[in-house]
Amino acid sequence: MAMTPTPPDGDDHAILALEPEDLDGHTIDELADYLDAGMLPADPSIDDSPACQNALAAIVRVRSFADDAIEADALDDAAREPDRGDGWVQAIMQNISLDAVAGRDIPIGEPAAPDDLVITEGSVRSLIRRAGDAVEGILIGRCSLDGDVTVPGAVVRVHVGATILWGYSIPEVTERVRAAISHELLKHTRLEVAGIDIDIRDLHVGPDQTQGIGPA
Amino acid sequence: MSDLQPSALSVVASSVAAIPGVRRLYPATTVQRVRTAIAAAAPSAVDQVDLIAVHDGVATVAISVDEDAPAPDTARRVHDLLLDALTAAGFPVTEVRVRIVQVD
Repeated sequence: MAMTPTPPDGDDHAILALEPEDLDGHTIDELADYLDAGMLPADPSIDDSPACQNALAAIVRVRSFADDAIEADALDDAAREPDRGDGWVQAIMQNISLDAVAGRDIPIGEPAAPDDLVITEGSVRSLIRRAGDAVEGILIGRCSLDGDVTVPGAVVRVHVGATILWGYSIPEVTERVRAAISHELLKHTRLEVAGIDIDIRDLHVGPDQTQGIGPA
Repeated sequence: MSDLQPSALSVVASSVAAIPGVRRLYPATTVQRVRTAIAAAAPSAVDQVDLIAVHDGVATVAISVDEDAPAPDTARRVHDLLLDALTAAGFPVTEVRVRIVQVD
């Protein structure tokens, strides 16, 4: 049961603009179905798409989180009924699509030849999402890189929206998320990160945690 | 379509895939949806050759890398191997572009 009715990240305009081609011709529910089928028969248009692979990995993590928090069927329902508008699960699934898109090329090589070695913005967002999801009690909803990441040395800020489970300390969890994201960005990119902003957009209460909440 | 012989590129692609830290190669085309359409229409048209593209002396490869190794280091090793391998094979390249599309 979500405690707040608002979409996790306030990206309604982006979610509404989502098109299947953002995932190389596939929708998030198609990917969920593919996962359910054991990724068989093999579909090269999914298997050879980095965006789809990044999205599939994120779906697996959302489902793992769901094991702790909600019924797995709710995830599939949200994926299949994108217009249902019933909250944070739907928004997270759609945000996975948005974040997995390749986006801009981020230089990771020498400044003299910035086009030689690059990492896609989508893979960096997936990296951030995975680092955050690895912290117990939190699930990343949306992440973005603000600033001109295509220019070596340019200062950027990382913005992350997340859902937290009831019972976890927000300051402690967000600090662990910030440290995990910072570690991964330092390791895999050359980005000059000025800061990592984390918005807790949703507080999720598991089905066995609702007792004692509300008026006495 | 590449300017080079398919067999030569396949050998180089195998060498790249064997570099520590490289998880896999993805099709090198910059427009994935075009490739998706091709794959849907004629799956046999998509093969190993697409893993490295060489146009007008510029070689391009898209890779997934292991999260345990820093991505820039892995990309640099791929870059240097590609440059050496293509040059040694008699194909002068003026530029090598390595694009990391997934950290796995």
